[in-house]
Amino acid sequence: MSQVLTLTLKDLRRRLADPAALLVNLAIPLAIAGAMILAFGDIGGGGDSGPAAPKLRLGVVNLDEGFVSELLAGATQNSEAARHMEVRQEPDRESGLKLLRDQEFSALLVIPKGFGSSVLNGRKTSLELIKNPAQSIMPVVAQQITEVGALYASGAAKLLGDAGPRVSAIAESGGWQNAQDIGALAASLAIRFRGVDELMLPPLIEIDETKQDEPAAGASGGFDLISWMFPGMIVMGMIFVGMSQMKDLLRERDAGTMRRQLAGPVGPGTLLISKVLSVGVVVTAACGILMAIGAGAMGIRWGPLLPLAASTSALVLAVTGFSALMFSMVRTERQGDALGGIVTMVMSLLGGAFVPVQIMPAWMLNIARLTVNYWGNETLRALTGGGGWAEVAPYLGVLAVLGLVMTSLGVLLLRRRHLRGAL
Amino acid sequence: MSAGPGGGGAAGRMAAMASVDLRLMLRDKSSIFWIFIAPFLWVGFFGMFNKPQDPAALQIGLAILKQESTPLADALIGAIRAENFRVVVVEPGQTLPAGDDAPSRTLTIPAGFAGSIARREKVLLKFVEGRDANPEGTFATTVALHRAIMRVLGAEALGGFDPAEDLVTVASSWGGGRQIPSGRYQTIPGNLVMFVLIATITYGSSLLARERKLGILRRLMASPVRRAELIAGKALGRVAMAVVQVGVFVLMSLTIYRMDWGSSPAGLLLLMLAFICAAAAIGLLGGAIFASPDAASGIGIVVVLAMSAIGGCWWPSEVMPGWLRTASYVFPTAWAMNGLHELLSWGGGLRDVAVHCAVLTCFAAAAAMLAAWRLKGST
Repeated sequence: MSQVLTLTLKDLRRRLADPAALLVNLAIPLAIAGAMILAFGDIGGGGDSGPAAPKLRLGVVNLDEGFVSELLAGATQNSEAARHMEVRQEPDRESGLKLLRDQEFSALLVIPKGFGSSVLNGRKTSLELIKNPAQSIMPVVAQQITEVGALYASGAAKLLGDAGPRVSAIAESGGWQNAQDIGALAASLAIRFRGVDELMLPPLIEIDETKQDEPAAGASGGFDLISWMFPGMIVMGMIFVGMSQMKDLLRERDAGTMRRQLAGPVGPGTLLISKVLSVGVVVTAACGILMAIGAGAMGIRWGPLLPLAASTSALVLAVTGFSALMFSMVRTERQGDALGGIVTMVMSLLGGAFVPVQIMPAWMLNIARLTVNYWGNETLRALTGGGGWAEVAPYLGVLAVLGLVMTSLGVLLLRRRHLRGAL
Repeated sequence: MSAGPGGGGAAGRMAAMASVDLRLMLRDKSSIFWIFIAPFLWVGFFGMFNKPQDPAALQIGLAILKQESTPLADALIGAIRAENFRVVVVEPGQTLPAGDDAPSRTLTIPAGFAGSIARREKVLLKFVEGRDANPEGTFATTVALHRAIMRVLGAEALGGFDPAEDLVTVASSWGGGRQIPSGRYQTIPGNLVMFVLIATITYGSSLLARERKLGILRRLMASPVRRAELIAGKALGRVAMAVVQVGVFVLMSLTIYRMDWGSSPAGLLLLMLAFICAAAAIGLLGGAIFASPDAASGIGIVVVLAMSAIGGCWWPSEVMPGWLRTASYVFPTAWAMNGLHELLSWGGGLRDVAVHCAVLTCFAAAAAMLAAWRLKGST
């Protein structure tokens, strides 16, 4: 045992003297994670207060001249709406469309000519909304807001009933000065409005909007892209590191240093175990570095300590065992290089590093389950999702068994190759 | 590793050097995978999950905690359902779904809701937005909830407020702006740009770094080849690698995905040529800068991944924040992707990609000059 430890320590010292390969292997998952954080992590957004409140940018072209359309267009500019909306009125459709094309407005509302008259006279009419296809959710919000406006207009028309045409006639004839007509209209409207105002002006039902507090320990806080994605990057990085470190066996074989070490009082089994062990230590260090970056720079919570320690140990064992097994079959350093990149990327792809396995078709999910990545990703994601022993147990067991089997098989095969003189 | 100084003068010698580089790359088994197999895997895999989506069909998840069962509460839920929500109703006594099924937004209809309305007392519906809920989705939710509430109150106040009787409707259409490229029109151009860079930056750079390390470039100078020809030959080799990679994608897109490459073959040809030159020159620069092949391919792949992601190869740049979209134009990937979208998705022509071609050519010229300057010492 002391021989294994001594050999492992010396091997580690040699490996760490040239950490360039390790750093490059860590840089790949970090580059992918960094790009995703820049793109989707709301950097430059709302700061500590969370993501900035979205603001709808709406263009309005009012082709009508009546007071109803003025009311509708103006409603988008009251103080409450102004918090959530930036509204710009344009004289014609063409200049309105330019807002969508050049200034990232979400939609253009066109109020047609004769709109107000139609509403007041009980004729069906429609508002035109042109949505910007370069955006996803905000045009849908614009449609909903326009439909709210249409609902108000429909409600007002229903409420006015046969008083609507009278209002229209007064408005069109400029009869707002005729006190008798106005008085009669007001009396009629007062009766109609009775009962409506207490329900709808303002609405009797209000929404009390709050943001969920920080989740209690163990509770799910909903989907967090970074906490979901980064475990996949960690497992990918660990496999990159495991494969590139295991390649050292072939380098030592080519340089003849392995054989020379056997001139000392060391058996081939001891030597190979110490080599695999030192790879395991480097993989552990890589995992630790990536997890620390995840916690420090991305705010990822890795959950309770003991399940985390057990999960990372099983993962390190599985990754090291997998690398040993791979390199027991690789003949040259060049083959190792080629295989390392290909196997790691393909396993990451299929194992759910980039796409949730839950949305994969059944046949692909079955393939995913054959990869170390799948079990590693799901274990770490169970932890970042607030899980503990119960949540990681099913994955942990498989990882540990995979790790033990692959490591034992890898060491055995490497030893056999060594005895054959091929290593 | 002879440059083959046979007939054809300088052009022949450069072509010979390029063909040697290309053969060396194609002899490498891993390059066969990355150039000929991985593109099919990547496009097939990501294309499977990147399907065109109709935003209008987007349903926002909402859980309604129903603390009373009355016709008015049911009417409100009915009006909310009509708003295109994916509604989960939690009846009194039931509990909210947890874990992966936990809703990101919940609305509570409190006990005594109908009674309060009957008494004309104000009712507050508690709406909780999950910690990680999308703010735009929440905005859409509150607007839709407001409309549902007005529908229910309108029915109470006006003795019926049937949507079918609405006088004013909304006729909506899409137009004005440009559609975000999706499906194969995002996946294939994105992977094309990324894999061309993988071929030129990782293989092209490491091959050149290896030749520098082994002193092959110096030995080549002993043959009747001028330094400029040698550097141009090496650049041409990387151009050949990129052309092979582009060919694989064009073939794949035409035969498997039946993709329409737009209506401007001239624009497409010029854009591809400019991008290939830029990628080849950057590959040359990588090989000129890095001392070891491992560093060239290792750091090269990190650079390619970062440029591809930020340049819009992995996702449409329209989904990124505005500042990042602007910043992405420091990378040739952003120009190449935007130019390809212009031609393939937005119906643009040669004139629309002229600036893209010019910028990519500038990238190529700058990288080639830097590489030539760095390679002086190695030749």
